[in-house]
Amino acid sequence: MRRAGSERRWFAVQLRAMASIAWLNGVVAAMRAPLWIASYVTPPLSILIILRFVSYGRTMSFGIVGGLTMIIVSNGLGLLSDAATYRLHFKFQDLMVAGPVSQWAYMLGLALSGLLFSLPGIAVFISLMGVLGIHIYSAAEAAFAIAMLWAASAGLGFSLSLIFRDLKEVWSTTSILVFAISVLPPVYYPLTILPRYVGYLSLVSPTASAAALLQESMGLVDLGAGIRALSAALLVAEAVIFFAVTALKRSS
Amino acid sequence: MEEVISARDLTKVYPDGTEALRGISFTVERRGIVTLLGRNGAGKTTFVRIAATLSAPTSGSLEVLGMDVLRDARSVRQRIALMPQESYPPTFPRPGELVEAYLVARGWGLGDARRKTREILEDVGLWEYRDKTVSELSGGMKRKVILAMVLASGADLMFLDEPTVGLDPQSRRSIWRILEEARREGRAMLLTTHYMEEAEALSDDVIILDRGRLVAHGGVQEIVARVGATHKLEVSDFPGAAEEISGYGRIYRYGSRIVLYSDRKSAEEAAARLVGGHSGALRVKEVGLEDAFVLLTGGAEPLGEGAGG
Repeated sequence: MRRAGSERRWFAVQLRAMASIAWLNGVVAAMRAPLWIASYVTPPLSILIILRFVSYGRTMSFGIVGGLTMIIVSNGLGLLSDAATYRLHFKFQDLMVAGPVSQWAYMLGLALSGLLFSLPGIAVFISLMGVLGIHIYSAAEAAFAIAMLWAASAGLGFSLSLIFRDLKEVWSTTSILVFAISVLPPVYYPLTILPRYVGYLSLVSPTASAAALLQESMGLVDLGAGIRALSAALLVAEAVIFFAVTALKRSS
Repeated sequence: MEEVISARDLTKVYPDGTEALRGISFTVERRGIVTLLGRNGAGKTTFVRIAATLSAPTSGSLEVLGMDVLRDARSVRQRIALMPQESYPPTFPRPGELVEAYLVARGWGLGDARRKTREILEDVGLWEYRDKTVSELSGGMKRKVILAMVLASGADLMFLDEPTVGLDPQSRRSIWRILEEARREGRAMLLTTHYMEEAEALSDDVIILDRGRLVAHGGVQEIVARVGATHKLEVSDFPGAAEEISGYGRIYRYGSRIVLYSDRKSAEEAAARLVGGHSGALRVKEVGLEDAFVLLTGGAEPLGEGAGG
Protein backbone atom coordinates (compact mmCIF):
# COMPACT_ATOMS: atom_id res chain seq x y z
CA MET A 1 0.00 0.00 0.00
CA ARG A 2 2.79 2.39 1.03
CA ARG A 3 4.78 1.32 -2.01
CA ALA A 4 1.81 1.99 -4.30
CA GLY A 5 1.48 5.46 -2.74
CA SER A 6 5.13 6.25 -3.29
CA GLU A 7 4.91 5.01 -6.90
CA ARG A 8 1.95 7.32 -7.51
CA ARG A 9 3.87 10.25 -6.00
CA TRP A 10 6.89 9.42 -8.15
CA PHE A 11 4.73 9.26 -11.27
CA ALA A 12 3.10 12.60 -10.40
CA VAL A 13 6.57 14.17 -10.05
CA GLN A 14 7.53 12.83 -13.49
CA LEU A 15 4.42 14.38 -15.05
CA ARG A 16 5.23 17.71 -13.42
CA ALA A 17 8.80 17.41 -14.67
CA MET A 18 7.65 16.80 -18.26
CA ALA A 19 5.24 19.72 -18.14
CA SER A 20 7.85 21.97 -16.58
CA ILE A 21 10.56 21.14 -19.13
CA ALA A 22 8.07 21.48 -22.01
CA TRP A 23 6.98 24.88 -20.66
CA LEU A 24 10.56 26.09 -20.29
CA ASN A 25 11.92 24.81 -23.61
CA GLY A 26 8.69 25.20 -25.56
CA VAL A 27 6.49 28.04 -24.33
CA VAL A 28 9.14 30.32 -22.80
CA ALA A 29 11.54 29.77 -25.70
CA ALA A 30 8.79 30.49 -28.24
CA MET A 31 7.76 33.67 -26.41
CA ARG A 32 11.33 34.97 -26.24
CA ALA A 33 12.29 34.03 -29.79
CA PRO A 34 9.22 33.79 -32.05
CA LEU A 35 11.55 33.89 -35.06
CA TRP A 36 12.45 30.27 -34.26
CA ILE A 37 8.87 29.30 -35.00
CA ALA A 38 8.98 31.30 -38.25
CA SER A 39 12.20 29.50 -39.18
CA TYR A 40 10.38 26.14 -39.02
CA VAL A 41 7.44 27.40 -41.15
CA THR A 42 9.44 29.25 -43.82
CA PRO A 43 10.97 26.28 -45.76
CA PRO A 44 7.69 24.32 -46.21
CA LEU A 45 5.80 27.51 -47.07
CA SER A 46 8.45 28.35 -49.69
CA ILE A 47 8.13 24.88 -51.20
CA LEU A 48 4.33 25.28 -51.23
CA ILE A 49 4.63 28.57 -53.12
CA ILE A 50 7.00 26.98 -55.66
CA LEU A 51 4.56 24.07 -56.12
CA ARG A 52 1.73 26.56 -56.66
CA PHE A 53 3.53 28.15 -59.62
CA VAL A 54 5.22 25.07 -61.07
CA SER A 55 2.12 22.83 -61.01
CA TYR A 56 -0.46 25.59 -61.52
CA GLY A 57 -1.95 24.62 -58.14
CA ARG A 58 -2.56 20.96 -59.08
CA THR A 59 -0.23 19.52 -56.38
CA MET A 60 -1.16 21.84 -53.53
CA SER A 61 -2.60 18.94 -51.50
CA PHE A 62 0.73 17.13 -51.66
CA GLY A 63 2.40 20.41 -50.74
CA ILE A 64 0.23 20.63 -47.62
CA VAL A 65 1.08 17.04 -46.62
CA GLY A 66 4.78 17.72 -47.28
CA GLY A 67 4.62 20.95 -45.29
CA LEU A 68 2.95 19.35 -42.26
CA THR A 69 5.47 16.50 -42.38
CA MET A 70 8.42 18.86 -42.71
CA ILE A 71 7.32 21.05 -39.79
CA ILE A 72 6.86 18.09 -37.47
CA VAL A 73 10.07 16.35 -38.48
CA SER A 74 12.18 19.51 -38.32
CA ASN A 75 10.89 20.18 -34.79
CA GLY A 76 11.41 16.56 -33.79
CA LEU A 77 14.91 16.46 -35.23
CA GLY A 78 15.49 19.92 -33.78
CA LEU A 79 15.64 18.09 -30.47
CA LEU A 80 18.93 16.66 -31.71
CA SER A 81 20.34 20.19 -31.37
CA ASP A 82 18.46 20.99 -28.16
CA ALA A 83 19.35 17.72 -26.44
CA ALA A 84 22.99 17.88 -27.52
CA THR A 85 23.35 21.56 -26.58
CA TYR A 86 21.78 20.95 -23.17
CA ARG A 87 24.01 17.93 -22.62
CA LEU A 88 27.33 19.17 -24.01
CA HIS A 89 27.25 22.94 -23.62
CA PHE A 90 24.95 23.84 -20.72
CA LYS A 91 25.22 20.50 -18.81
CA PHE A 92 21.53 21.10 -18.18
CA GLN A 93 20.67 17.43 -18.65
CA ASP A 94 22.94 16.37 -15.76
CA LEU A 95 21.55 19.17 -13.62
CA MET A 96 17.99 17.94 -14.19
CA VAL A 97 18.41 14.17 -13.97
CA ALA A 98 20.73 14.13 -10.93
CA GLY A 99 17.57 14.58 -8.89
CA PRO A 100 13.99 13.32 -8.85
CA VAL A 101 13.53 13.87 -12.63
CA SER A 102 13.94 10.58 -14.54
CA GLN A 103 15.70 10.28 -17.91
CA TRP A 104 12.34 9.43 -19.50
CA ALA A 105 10.58 12.46 -18.05
CA TYR A 106 13.44 14.68 -19.21
CA MET A 107 13.33 13.26 -22.75
CA LEU A 108 9.54 13.38 -23.03
CA GLY A 109 9.51 16.92 -21.62
CA LEU A 110 11.93 18.05 -24.32
CA ALA A 111 9.96 16.12 -26.96
CA LEU A 112 6.75 17.86 -25.81
CA SER A 113 8.49 21.20 -26.13
CA GLY A 114 9.23 20.28 -29.76
CA LEU A 115 5.53 19.52 -30.29
CA LEU A 116 4.58 22.88 -28.75
CA PHE A 117 6.98 24.53 -31.18
CA SER A 118 5.31 22.68 -34.09
CA LEU A 119 1.79 23.75 -33.19
CA PRO A 120 1.82 27.25 -34.75
CA GLY A 121 3.19 25.79 -38.02
CA ILE A 122 0.62 22.98 -37.98
CA ALA A 123 -2.09 25.60 -37.41
CA VAL A 124 -0.84 27.63 -40.40
CA PHE A 125 -1.02 24.58 -42.70
CA ILE A 126 -4.42 23.46 -41.38
CA SER A 127 -5.71 27.00 -42.02
CA LEU A 128 -4.31 26.80 -45.54
CA MET A 129 -6.20 23.56 -46.03
CA GLY A 130 -9.39 25.46 -45.26
CA VAL A 131 -8.45 28.23 -47.68
CA LEU A 132 -7.56 25.75 -50.46
CA GLY A 133 -10.63 23.57 -49.84
CA ILE A 134 -8.59 20.47 -48.91
CA HIS A 135 -10.44 18.03 -46.63
CA ILE A 136 -9.35 15.33 -44.24
CA TYR A 137 -11.55 12.27 -44.68
CA SER A 138 -9.95 10.18 -41.95
CA ALA A 139 -9.07 12.38 -38.97
CA ALA A 140 -7.97 9.35 -36.92
CA GLU A 141 -5.46 8.28 -39.59
CA ALA A 142 -4.11 11.85 -39.89
CA ALA A 143 -3.83 12.29 -36.10
CA PHE A 144 -2.08 8.92 -35.79
CA ALA A 145 0.39 9.85 -38.55
CA ILE A 146 1.17 13.24 -36.98
CA ALA A 147 1.55 11.84 -33.43
CA MET A 148 3.76 8.93 -34.48
CA LEU A 149 5.89 11.10 -36.77
CA TRP A 150 6.45 13.47 -33.84
CA ALA A 151 7.41 10.55 -31.56
CA ALA A 152 9.67 8.87 -34.14
CA SER A 153 11.48 12.05 -35.17
CA ALA A 154 11.92 13.17 -31.54
CA GLY A 155 13.25 9.70 -30.67
CA LEU A 156 15.60 9.83 -33.66
CA GLY A 157 16.76 13.29 -32.59
CA PHE A 158 17.49 12.09 -29.05
CA SER A 159 19.30 8.92 -30.05
CA LEU A 160 21.50 10.81 -32.52
CA SER A 161 22.22 13.53 -29.94
CA LEU A 162 24.13 10.98 -27.86
CA ILE A 163 26.57 10.21 -30.68
CA PHE A 164 28.03 13.67 -31.08
CA ARG A 165 30.76 15.33 -29.03
CA ASP A 166 30.96 18.56 -31.05
CA LEU A 167 28.04 20.96 -31.44
CA LYS A 168 29.11 22.14 -34.90
CA GLU A 169 28.59 18.59 -36.19
CA VAL A 170 25.19 18.51 -34.50
CA TRP A 171 23.91 21.65 -36.23
CA SER A 172 25.08 20.62 -39.68
CA THR A 173 23.75 17.06 -39.24
CA THR A 174 20.33 18.39 -38.22
CA SER A 175 20.05 20.58 -41.34
CA ILE A 176 21.18 17.78 -43.65
CA LEU A 177 18.87 15.22 -42.05
CA VAL A 178 15.79 17.43 -42.11
CA PHE A 179 16.13 18.02 -45.86
CA ALA A 180 17.26 14.47 -46.61
CA ILE A 181 14.24 12.84 -44.99
CA SER A 182 11.57 15.42 -45.66
CA VAL A 183 12.28 16.30 -49.32
CA LEU A 184 13.90 13.27 -50.98
CA PRO A 185 11.52 10.44 -49.89
CA PRO A 186 7.87 10.43 -51.06
CA VAL A 187 6.68 13.25 -48.84
CA TYR A 188 5.80 15.91 -51.42
CA TYR A 189 4.79 13.29 -53.99
CA PRO A 190 2.89 9.98 -53.86
CA LEU A 191 4.67 6.77 -52.96
CA THR A 192 2.82 5.05 -55.80
CA ILE A 193 4.83 6.78 -58.56
CA LEU A 194 7.98 5.01 -57.39
CA PRO A 195 8.94 1.47 -58.53
CA ARG A 196 7.29 -0.93 -56.12
CA TYR A 197 10.42 -2.07 -54.26
CA VAL A 198 11.77 1.52 -53.97
CA GLY A 199 8.40 2.56 -52.55
CA TYR A 200 8.56 -0.15 -49.90
CA LEU A 201 12.15 0.75 -49.10
CA SER A 202 11.31 4.44 -48.73
CA LEU A 203 8.83 3.62 -45.97
CA VAL A 204 11.82 3.05 -43.69
CA SER A 205 11.98 6.83 -43.45
CA PRO A 206 9.37 7.88 -40.86
CA THR A 207 8.54 10.90 -43.03
CA ALA A 208 7.55 8.65 -45.96
CA SER A 209 5.35 6.42 -43.78
CA ALA A 210 3.65 9.38 -42.14
CA ALA A 211 3.22 11.25 -45.43
CA ALA A 212 1.68 8.14 -47.04
CA LEU A 213 -0.88 7.91 -44.23
CA LEU A 214 -1.57 11.66 -44.37
CA GLN A 215 -2.00 11.55 -48.16
CA GLU A 216 -4.48 8.70 -47.75
CA SER A 217 -6.35 10.50 -44.96
CA MET A 218 -6.91 13.37 -47.43
CA GLY A 219 -8.09 11.02 -50.16
CA LEU A 220 -5.04 11.67 -52.39
CA VAL A 221 -3.94 8.04 -52.67
CA ASP A 222 -5.26 4.60 -51.88
CA LEU A 223 -2.44 2.76 -50.12
CA GLY A 224 -4.11 -0.60 -49.78
CA ALA A 225 -4.20 -2.55 -46.52
CA GLY A 226 -0.64 -3.87 -46.83
CA ILE A 227 1.17 -0.55 -47.22
CA ARG A 228 -1.15 1.13 -44.70
CA ALA A 229 -0.37 -1.50 -42.06
CA LEU A 230 3.34 -1.50 -42.88
CA SER A 231 3.54 2.32 -42.63
CA ALA A 232 1.74 2.35 -39.28
CA ALA A 233 3.82 -0.53 -37.88
CA LEU A 234 7.10 1.06 -38.99
CA LEU A 235 6.19 4.41 -37.41
CA VAL A 236 5.33 2.77 -34.07
CA ALA A 237 8.41 0.54 -34.15
CA GLU A 238 10.73 3.45 -34.98
CA ALA A 239 9.31 5.61 -32.19
CA VAL A 240 9.75 2.79 -29.65
CA ILE A 241 13.20 1.76 -30.89
CA PHE A 242 14.63 5.29 -31.00
CA PHE A 243 13.40 6.14 -27.49
CA ALA A 244 14.54 2.76 -26.14
CA VAL A 245 18.01 3.17 -27.66
CA THR A 246 18.26 6.62 -26.07
CA ALA A 247 17.18 5.37 -22.65
CA LEU A 248 19.55 2.39 -22.80
CA LYS A 249 22.52 4.49 -23.93
CA ARG A 250 21.84 7.06 -21.21
CA SER A 251 21.68 4.48 -18.45
CA SER A 252 24.80 2.63 -19.58
CA MET B 1 22.93 9.72 12.40
CA GLU B 2 23.28 8.55 8.76
CA GLU B 3 26.64 8.73 7.03
CA VAL B 4 26.78 11.40 4.32
CA ILE B 5 29.03 9.47 1.93
CA SER B 6 30.64 6.07 2.29
CA ALA B 7 32.84 4.61 -0.46
CA ARG B 8 34.24 1.06 -0.37
CA ASP B 9 36.93 0.00 -2.87
CA LEU B 10 35.29 2.16 -5.51
CA THR B 11 36.76 1.77 -8.99
CA LYS B 12 35.82 3.17 -12.36
CA VAL B 13 37.42 2.05 -15.59
CA TYR B 14 36.15 3.74 -18.78
CA PRO B 15 35.67 1.73 -21.99
CA ASP B 16 38.94 3.17 -23.40
CA GLY B 17 40.80 1.62 -20.46
CA THR B 18 41.28 4.82 -18.44
CA GLU B 19 41.30 4.00 -14.72
CA ALA B 20 39.59 7.06 -13.26
CA LEU B 21 39.13 5.65 -9.75
CA ARG B 22 41.33 2.92 -8.25
CA GLY B 23 39.83 1.39 -5.13
CA ILE B 24 38.79 4.45 -3.17
CA SER B 25 37.48 3.96 0.37
CA PHE B 26 36.41 6.67 2.81
CA THR B 27 33.49 7.72 4.97
CA VAL B 28 32.16 11.21 5.63
CA GLU B 29 30.06 11.16 8.77
CA ARG B 30 29.24 14.77 9.55
CA ARG B 31 27.26 17.27 7.49
CA GLY B 32 28.94 20.40 6.24
CA ILE B 33 31.26 21.01 3.31
CA VAL B 34 33.47 18.19 2.07
CA THR B 35 35.97 19.26 -0.57
CA LEU B 36 37.45 16.94 -3.16
CA LEU B 37 40.85 18.13 -4.31
CA GLY B 38 42.97 16.72 -7.08
CA ARG B 39 44.79 17.64 -10.24
CA ASN B 40 43.01 17.51 -13.60
CA GLY B 41 42.18 13.86 -14.27
CA ALA B 42 42.50 12.85 -10.61
CA GLY B 43 38.99 11.37 -10.63
CA LYS B 44 37.01 14.14 -8.90
CA THR B 45 34.29 14.55 -11.51
CA THR B 46 34.06 10.79 -12.02
CA PHE B 47 33.46 10.39 -8.30
CA VAL B 48 30.82 13.14 -8.30
CA ARG B 49 29.04 11.59 -11.30
CA ILE B 50 28.89 8.19 -9.60
CA ALA B 51 27.68 9.73 -6.32
CA ALA B 52 25.03 11.70 -8.25
CA THR B 53 23.82 8.43 -9.89
CA LEU B 54 24.83 9.61 -13.38
CA SER B 55 27.46 6.93 -13.88
CA ALA B 56 27.93 3.42 -12.54
CA PRO B 57 31.11 2.26 -10.79
CA THR B 58 33.06 -0.62 -12.32
CA SER B 59 33.39 -2.28 -8.91
CA GLY B 60 33.08 -1.46 -5.24
CA SER B 61 30.20 0.34 -3.61
CA LEU B 62 29.15 3.85 -2.78
CA GLU B 63 26.49 4.89 -0.31
CA VAL B 64 25.05 8.38 -0.27
CA LEU B 65 22.95 9.41 2.74
CA GLY B 66 22.90 5.76 3.78
CA MET B 67 21.61 4.48 0.42
CA ASP B 68 23.43 2.51 -2.26
CA VAL B 69 23.79 4.61 -5.44
CA LEU B 70 23.07 1.61 -7.69
CA ARG B 71 20.44 -0.33 -5.74
CA ASP B 72 18.58 2.70 -4.36
CA ALA B 73 19.30 5.17 -7.16
CA ARG B 74 15.76 6.49 -7.28
CA SER B 75 15.70 7.14 -3.52
CA VAL B 76 19.13 8.78 -3.66
CA ARG B 77 17.91 11.13 -6.40
CA GLN B 78 15.03 12.34 -4.22
CA ARG B 79 17.57 13.82 -1.79
CA ILE B 80 20.41 15.16 -3.92
CA ALA B 81 21.06 18.01 -6.34
CA LEU B 82 24.01 18.59 -8.67
CA MET B 83 25.71 21.69 -10.01
CA PRO B 84 27.69 20.10 -12.87
CA GLN B 85 31.17 21.23 -13.85
CA GLU B 86 31.11 24.10 -16.38
CA SER B 87 27.32 24.23 -16.31
CA TYR B 88 25.44 27.28 -17.50
CA PRO B 89 21.72 28.00 -17.68
CA PRO B 90 19.97 28.13 -21.07
CA THR B 91 20.08 31.74 -22.26
CA PHE B 92 16.47 32.58 -23.17
CA PRO B 93 14.65 32.26 -19.79
CA ARG B 94 14.80 34.71 -16.91
CA PRO B 95 16.55 33.55 -13.72
CA GLY B 96 13.25 33.19 -11.85
CA GLU B 97 11.69 31.12 -14.64
CA LEU B 98 14.59 28.70 -14.49
CA VAL B 99 14.54 28.28 -10.71
CA GLU B 100 10.77 27.91 -10.72
CA ALA B 101 10.77 25.34 -13.55
CA TYR B 102 13.53 23.38 -11.79
CA LEU B 103 11.62 23.29 -8.51
CA VAL B 104 8.34 22.28 -10.17
CA ALA B 105 10.21 19.56 -12.09
CA ARG B 106 11.48 18.27 -8.74
CA GLY B 107 7.91 17.99 -7.50
CA TRP B 108 7.30 21.34 -5.81
CA GLY B 109 3.85 22.94 -5.98
CA LEU B 110 3.71 26.08 -8.11
CA GLY B 111 2.91 28.41 -5.17
CA ASP B 112 5.75 27.06 -3.02
CA ALA B 113 8.13 27.18 -5.99
CA ARG B 114 7.28 30.86 -6.62
CA ARG B 115 7.84 31.78 -2.96
CA LYS B 116 11.12 29.88 -2.77
CA THR B 117 12.31 31.34 -6.08
CA ARG B 118 11.90 34.89 -4.80
CA GLU B 119 13.61 34.00 -1.52
CA ILE B 120 16.63 32.37 -3.17
CA LEU B 121 17.05 35.09 -5.83
CA GLU B 122 17.15 37.65 -3.02
CA ASP B 123 19.66 35.51 -1.09
CA VAL B 124 22.07 35.21 -4.02
CA GLY B 125 21.65 38.81 -5.15
CA LEU B 126 19.77 38.09 -8.39
CA TRP B 127 16.37 39.56 -7.52
CA GLU B 128 17.21 42.91 -9.10
CA TYR B 129 18.01 41.08 -12.35
CA ARG B 130 14.73 39.15 -12.37
CA ASP B 131 13.46 40.87 -15.53
CA LYS B 132 16.59 40.19 -17.55
CA THR B 133 17.07 37.03 -19.58
CA VAL B 134 20.07 34.84 -18.74
CA SER B 135 21.77 35.99 -21.97
CA GLU B 136 21.96 39.50 -20.48
CA LEU B 137 23.76 38.34 -17.31
CA SER B 138 27.51 38.18 -16.68
CA GLY B 139 29.35 34.85 -16.40
CA GLY B 140 29.37 35.07 -12.60
CA MET B 141 25.66 35.75 -12.45
CA LYS B 142 24.96 32.81 -14.76
CA ARG B 143 26.83 30.55 -12.33
CA LYS B 144 24.79 32.06 -9.52
CA VAL B 145 21.58 31.15 -11.36
CA ILE B 146 22.64 27.48 -11.42
CA LEU B 147 23.71 27.71 -7.78
CA ALA B 148 20.36 29.29 -6.91
CA MET B 149 18.53 26.40 -8.59
CA VAL B 150 20.54 23.81 -6.67
CA LEU B 151 20.32 25.63 -3.32
CA ALA B 152 16.58 26.24 -3.70
CA SER B 153 15.98 22.52 -4.22
CA GLY B 154 16.27 21.89 -0.49
CA ALA B 155 18.30 18.75 -1.28
CA ASP B 156 19.95 17.16 1.74
CA LEU B 157 23.20 16.71 -0.17
CA MET B 158 24.41 19.02 -2.94
CA PHE B 159 27.23 18.16 -5.32
CA LEU B 160 28.99 21.32 -6.50
CA ASP B 161 31.54 20.51 -9.20
CA GLU B 162 33.89 23.50 -9.46
CA PRO B 163 31.18 26.07 -8.73
CA THR B 164 33.52 29.07 -8.81
CA VAL B 165 35.78 28.21 -11.73
CA GLY B 166 36.46 31.18 -14.00
CA LEU B 167 34.86 33.72 -11.67
CA ASP B 168 36.44 36.97 -10.50
CA PRO B 169 37.49 37.11 -6.82
CA GLN B 170 34.42 39.15 -5.79
CA SER B 171 31.96 36.73 -7.40
CA ARG B 172 33.87 33.79 -5.93
CA ARG B 173 33.69 35.24 -2.44
CA SER B 174 30.00 35.99 -2.80
CA ILE B 175 29.43 32.34 -3.69
CA TRP B 176 31.50 31.33 -0.63
CA ARG B 177 29.15 33.39 1.56
CA ILE B 178 26.15 31.60 0.05
CA LEU B 179 27.72 28.19 0.68
CA GLU B 180 28.65 29.11 4.25
CA GLU B 181 25.03 30.14 4.85
CA ALA B 182 23.82 26.78 3.46
CA ARG B 183 26.25 25.01 5.80
CA ARG B 184 24.86 26.96 8.77
CA GLU B 185 21.41 25.68 7.77
CA GLY B 186 22.72 22.13 8.23
CA ARG B 187 22.99 21.18 4.54
CA ALA B 188 25.66 18.76 3.33
CA MET B 189 27.78 19.68 0.30
CA LEU B 190 30.45 17.89 -1.69
CA LEU B 191 32.54 20.50 -3.43
CA THR B 192 35.30 20.09 -5.99
CA THR B 193 37.72 22.89 -6.66
CA HIS B 194 41.22 23.75 -7.86
CA TYR B 195 41.37 26.81 -5.62
CA MET B 196 43.23 25.92 -2.43
CA GLU B 197 42.19 29.08 -0.61
CA GLU B 198 38.58 28.13 -1.37
CA ALA B 199 39.06 24.67 0.11
CA GLU B 200 40.84 26.15 3.11
CA ALA B 201 38.13 28.73 3.73
CA LEU B 202 35.11 26.48 3.31
CA SER B 203 35.93 22.86 4.09
CA ASP B 204 35.00 20.85 7.14
CA ASP B 205 36.59 17.80 5.53
CA VAL B 206 39.09 17.53 2.69
CA ILE B 207 39.67 14.53 0.45
CA ILE B 208 42.68 14.53 -1.86
CA LEU B 209 42.69 12.29 -4.92
CA ASP B 210 45.68 11.62 -7.11
CA ARG B 211 45.50 9.58 -10.31
CA GLY B 212 42.35 7.87 -9.07
CA ARG B 213 43.70 7.02 -5.61
CA LEU B 214 42.83 8.58 -2.29
CA VAL B 215 45.95 10.12 -0.79
CA ALA B 216 44.51 12.02 2.17
CA HIS B 217 41.27 12.53 4.05
CA GLY B 218 40.69 14.67 7.12
CA GLY B 219 40.11 18.17 8.41
CA VAL B 220 42.09 21.04 6.87
CA GLN B 221 44.46 21.31 9.87
CA GLU B 222 44.92 17.53 9.96
CA ILE B 223 45.98 17.51 6.31
CA VAL B 224 48.21 20.57 6.64
CA ALA B 225 49.90 18.84 9.61
CA ARG B 226 51.02 16.09 7.21
CA VAL B 227 53.52 18.53 5.73
CA GLY B 228 55.50 18.01 8.97
CA ALA B 229 56.45 21.68 9.23
CA THR B 230 54.77 24.89 10.35
CA HIS B 231 56.58 27.37 8.11
CA LYS B 232 58.21 27.60 4.72
CA LEU B 233 60.75 29.73 2.95
CA GLU B 234 60.40 30.14 -0.80
CA VAL B 235 63.36 31.16 -2.92
CA SER B 236 63.52 31.74 -6.65
CA ASP B 237 66.33 32.85 -8.98
CA PHE B 238 68.92 32.27 -6.25
CA PRO B 239 71.78 30.07 -7.51
CA GLY B 240 73.12 27.67 -4.89
CA ALA B 241 70.24 28.37 -2.47
CA ALA B 242 69.44 24.69 -1.94
CA GLU B 243 73.00 23.92 -0.80
CA GLU B 244 73.16 27.06 1.38
CA ILE B 245 70.04 26.19 3.41
CA SER B 246 70.22 22.42 3.32
CA GLY B 247 70.70 22.15 7.08
CA TYR B 248 67.55 24.06 8.05
CA GLY B 249 64.77 21.67 7.04
CA ARG B 250 63.34 19.67 4.15
CA ILE B 251 63.92 21.19 0.75
CA TYR B 252 61.83 20.72 -2.40
CA ARG B 253 61.94 22.08 -5.91
CA TYR B 254 58.69 23.38 -7.46
CA GLY B 255 59.62 24.22 -11.03
CA SER B 256 62.09 27.10 -10.73
CA ARG B 257 61.41 27.69 -7.01
CA ILE B 258 63.17 26.16 -4.03
CA VAL B 259 61.04 25.69 -0.91
CA LEU B 260 62.33 24.96 2.56
CA TYR B 261 59.85 23.42 5.03
CA SER B 262 60.74 23.85 8.66
CA ASP B 263 59.70 25.62 11.89
CA ARG B 264 59.50 29.42 11.99
CA LYS B 265 62.89 29.89 13.72
CA SER B 266 64.83 27.65 11.33
CA ALA B 267 63.12 29.13 8.29
CA GLU B 268 63.99 32.68 9.42
CA GLU B 269 67.59 31.66 10.10
CA ALA B 270 67.81 30.13 6.63
CA ALA B 271 66.43 33.33 5.12
CA ALA B 272 68.96 35.40 7.07
CA ARG B 273 71.79 33.21 5.87
CA LEU B 274 70.75 33.62 2.24
CA VAL B 275 70.59 37.41 2.36
CA GLY B 276 73.52 37.91 4.67
CA GLY B 277 71.77 38.58 7.94
CA HIS B 278 68.80 40.60 6.54
CA SER B 279 65.90 38.17 6.68
CA GLY B 280 63.39 40.88 5.71
CA ALA B 281 64.18 40.42 2.01
CA LEU B 282 62.88 36.85 1.97
CA ARG B 283 59.47 36.15 3.50
CA VAL B 284 58.81 33.20 5.75
CA LYS B 285 55.19 32.03 5.47
CA GLU B 286 52.94 29.61 7.30
CA VAL B 287 52.43 26.25 5.64
CA GLY B 288 48.96 25.84 4.11
CA LEU B 289 46.71 23.37 2.32
CA GLU B 290 48.38 24.07 -1.02
CA ASP B 291 51.72 22.85 0.38
CA ALA B 292 50.10 19.68 1.68
CA PHE B 293 48.36 19.15 -1.64
CA VAL B 294 51.52 19.57 -3.71
CA LEU B 295 53.59 17.33 -1.43
CA LEU B 296 50.92 14.62 -1.17
CA THR B 297 50.30 14.50 -4.91
CA GLY B 298 53.98 14.39 -5.83
CA GLY B 299 54.04 17.86 -7.35
CA ALA B 300 57.38 18.75 -5.74
CA GLU B 301 60.79 17.17 -6.16
CA PRO B 302 62.54 16.45 -2.83
CA LEU B 303 66.10 17.80 -2.76
CA GLY B 304 67.22 16.89 0.75
CA GLU B 305 66.55 16.96 4.46
CA GLY B 306 68.39 18.89 7.14
CA ALA B 307 68.26 19.33 10.88
CA GLY B 308 65.39 21.76 11.21
CA GLY B 309 61.61 21.32 10.80
